[in-house]
Amino acid sequence: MVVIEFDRVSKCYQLGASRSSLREAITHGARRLLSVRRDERKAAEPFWAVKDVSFQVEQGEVVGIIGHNGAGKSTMLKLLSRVTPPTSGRIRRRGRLAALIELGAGFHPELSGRENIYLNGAILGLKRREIDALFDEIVSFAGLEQFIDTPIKRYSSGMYVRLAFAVAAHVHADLLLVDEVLSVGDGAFQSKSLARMRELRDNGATIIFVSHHMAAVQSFCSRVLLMDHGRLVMSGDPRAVIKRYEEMQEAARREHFLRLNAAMVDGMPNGNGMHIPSGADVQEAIWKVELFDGRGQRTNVLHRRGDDLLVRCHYAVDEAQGVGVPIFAVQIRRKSDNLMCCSPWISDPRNSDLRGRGVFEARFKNLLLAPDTYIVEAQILDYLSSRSAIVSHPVSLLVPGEPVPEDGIYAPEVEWSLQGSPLVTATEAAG
Amino acid sequence: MQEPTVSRAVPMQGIELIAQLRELFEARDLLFTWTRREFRVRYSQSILGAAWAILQPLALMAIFSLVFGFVLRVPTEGVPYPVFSYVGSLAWTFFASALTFAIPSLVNNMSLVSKIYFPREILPLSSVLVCLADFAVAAALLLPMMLIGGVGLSWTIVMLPLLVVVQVLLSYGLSLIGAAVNVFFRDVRFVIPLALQIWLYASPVIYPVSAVPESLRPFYFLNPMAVLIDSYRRVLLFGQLPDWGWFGLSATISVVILVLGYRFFKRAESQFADVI
Repeated sequence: MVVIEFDRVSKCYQLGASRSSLREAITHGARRLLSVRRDERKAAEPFWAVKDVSFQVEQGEVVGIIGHNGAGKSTMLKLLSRVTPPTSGRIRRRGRLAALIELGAGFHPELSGRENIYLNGAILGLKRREIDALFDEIVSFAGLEQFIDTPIKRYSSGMYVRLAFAVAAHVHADLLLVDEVLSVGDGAFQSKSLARMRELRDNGATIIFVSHHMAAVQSFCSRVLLMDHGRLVMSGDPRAVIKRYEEMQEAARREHFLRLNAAMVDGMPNGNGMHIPSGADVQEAIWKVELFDGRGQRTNVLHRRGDDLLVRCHYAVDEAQGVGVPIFAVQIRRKSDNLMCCSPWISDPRNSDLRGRGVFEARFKNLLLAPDTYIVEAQILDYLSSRSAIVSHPVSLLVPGEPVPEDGIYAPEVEWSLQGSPLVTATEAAG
Repeated sequence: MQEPTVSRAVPMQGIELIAQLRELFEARDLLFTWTRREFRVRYSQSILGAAWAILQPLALMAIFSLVFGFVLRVPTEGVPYPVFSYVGSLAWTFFASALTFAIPSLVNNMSLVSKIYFPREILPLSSVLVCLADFAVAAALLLPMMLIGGVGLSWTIVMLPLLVVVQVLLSYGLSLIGAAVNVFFRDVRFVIPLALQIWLYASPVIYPVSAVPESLRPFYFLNPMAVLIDSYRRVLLFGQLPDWGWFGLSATISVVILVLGYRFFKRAESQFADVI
């Protein structure tokens, strides 16, 4: 049975069109009335957050929605949850819907845990007697038996999240909309939330799952929808759709990278939009990139924080043509997307003219990267001509440890002090 | 399995209203829970708690008694001025606080409105109901006051629920319009205190209806609050029935405001999440 049907659904927002003061609305209205055309300050720009999307969901399906930021995922959830109506098209839903879009929606700090369970449950669509029946289960799931009559403003943030999730997890809806929210928190919390969602799925609930967490999407969903700039570009087997998404991400990343290079070249004399071929050049290449740690050990893992990283690149340049004034660059990127650092280096123009085979090295001193997986890429550009850059294959670099996005990407050594007296060096080199 | 819910660009008319009312009925548990929350939150961490419900009309009464009863000696048709003005203050406090709390209720719960769907008319309705509870608490003080003032109870008090119902309809209708407009134009917030102040003087809170020139009464009684306050005094203090002609008109005006307000609110509702 079909429980969700999107029929050519579009949602348009008017960017820069908000008129939240009466005066503006009145002057706008008056101007329209007098049909004065001039002084049309920055006309409202239509933005199609979702464009012409059609799909159906059968009962019991677990459908993931993925896509880059701004692809229309959140708008899809808002449309599904009826928070906002479509600009055109039609949406049909069947069954009781619960949107787990915001954990602890309507929680009030002054009220006790007990009262907030009833409140949040009611907001998520539970009847009072249903909450009565589930109450003990919710409390023990959250592990908050002792504190259930304490105002939640006295809760720690962990207790707060546990309570919010416990309520959300016990909503017995036919149709469950789950946003990224359930994948926040620590690892234990995530696995608990996923386990609970599996349970709901096995009980026959239809689940729509929006996430950036591809591993969770792949293991959990029976089908995945891929959104791109408001359009539904692919729907089907999770593995295939995720692969396509990653290719798209990769392409976008590459494009970004090229633009970055172009910008770099544009800023130089003679540089007029250097074109870089997608594949590595056959004759010309940085054919090997090797990484060494501070002790000179060849490795792909940077064990000690603040260690040196030596990047050794073996290149081959066309003998006949050569590279007049080479610029060498080594980039370190986070695997997800962002550029960590790029260190262009231009050799002395008087004795450059790179030809044949050779090696160049870049030593990154005291590299303070946060735990994560990184990509190292090297390239050679020509300062004088607009010939193609020579780009290496990416090499991965691992800084071991649990990545904590909240901690940022740069992990400097920090010395803390209290009231001006140095106490303790809070960071120590991980071994 | 229930009927499928349909969202479309242009809502269908007619059957829409029935579906909306059914949805509101379905969400009654949320309404009660939310109203409880509003009530608890309003008085949490205040030492006097729900006593504030009594203190507000009481303070109004004290000031009015001093200025209009003692200094200006406004005639009150044989009832002690404090009792006379307390009845007016009760009804007025209910009306004014209902609007004051209900109109910003959507904007104050922005995160909820923009994230989760539920019949949004619950928010202003809860505010009105909380003020109704305050009204009931404060009204309990009226009886001892009447005893002290030597005002006897009359059987006409049985009309009281009818008056309260009309006042709730009126307050809720205006709240729906105000709350919806406030989402789009925050100017409403500044207009309300001013409008209420003017409205207070246009209603017989501090003076009796008999002080209004006879020739002006037909216009004066177009204000439903004027008729309501006069009716409260009639049934509670004077043992009279309301003036059914004017009362009927006020009830009709209130119902019309509510119906129009509700329709307006439900039309505007679809845009709340996009604008708020």
